[in-house]
Amino acid sequence: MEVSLALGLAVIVALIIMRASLLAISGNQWTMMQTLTDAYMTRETALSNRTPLADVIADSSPWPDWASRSEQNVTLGKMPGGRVVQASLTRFRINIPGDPDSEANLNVFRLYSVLKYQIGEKEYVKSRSTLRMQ
Amino acid sequence: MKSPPQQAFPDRVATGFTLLELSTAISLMLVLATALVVIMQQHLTFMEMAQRQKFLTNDAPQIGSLLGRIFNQADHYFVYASHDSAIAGDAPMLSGGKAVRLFFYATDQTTKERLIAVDSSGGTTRLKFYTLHLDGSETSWVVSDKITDATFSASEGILAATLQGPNGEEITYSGGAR
Repeated sequence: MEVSLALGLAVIVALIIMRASLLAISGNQWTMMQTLTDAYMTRETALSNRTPLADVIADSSPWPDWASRSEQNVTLGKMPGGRVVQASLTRFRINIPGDPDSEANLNVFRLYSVLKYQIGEKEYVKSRSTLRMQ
Repeated sequence: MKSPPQQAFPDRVATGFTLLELSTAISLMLVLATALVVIMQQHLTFMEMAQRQKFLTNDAPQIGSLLGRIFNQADHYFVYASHDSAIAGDAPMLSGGKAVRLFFYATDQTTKERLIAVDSSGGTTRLKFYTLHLDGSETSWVVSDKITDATFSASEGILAATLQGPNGEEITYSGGAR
């Protein structure tokens, strides 16, 4: 009787520990993906600030108009064990034309980078935007 | 009339367990012990997995945050093959460098110079930040000793640092767009 009780208790403890461990590991998976996507977005922010405005508004712009946007697969990095992680990147820009009656008459462009990635069965989206003006 | 059979030891009281009871108890205890060993092994496996993930969960974000702030404050930069070639002023390179020389404009109209380089001396790979002094000497502090390698590149007008982790991880931080 006592041994049976101990056995049952051990099974319950094992299940609780396994659940806790699995939760911890799955949380780490989410954190690692956040780390990789955040790092990738530093590139997008740097590029959107650095790219000359002439290139931004050119026909072959890396940030085309919303209507001309396209998705591309990008490599975010590598997970422990060397597994390559990829995601889908969409870039586009919103043009806010200047007002000729205003004193500054600025042409303003907001450059968007939208990254879609998966963790398990769920799909997540992360975006950054940069304001450029002329 | 037939009398009942007499016990061999009539004074002895039967207080022990039968062989079947003992065998059952020992078997259950063995199962219990095996289960505990399996639990312990499983826990150790999960601990090892968590440890393997530590570079991307803990170390890389800290390094990235620091590098990002430094890169984004730099006015201009050059990538070199190594710490020594950066000090010697050899020809800079665009990718695959192990050192980056950063220049910061100060408020007193002077230019401050700093260096970030991979140091693999003593069997440990570290990312170090160097301050170069006017008398030619340098002081340094360790950004991280959790990496196994790092390379710098200056392409498309931005500065990027690609870090390699101890378990095959790879992550790239960018900046320097001023």
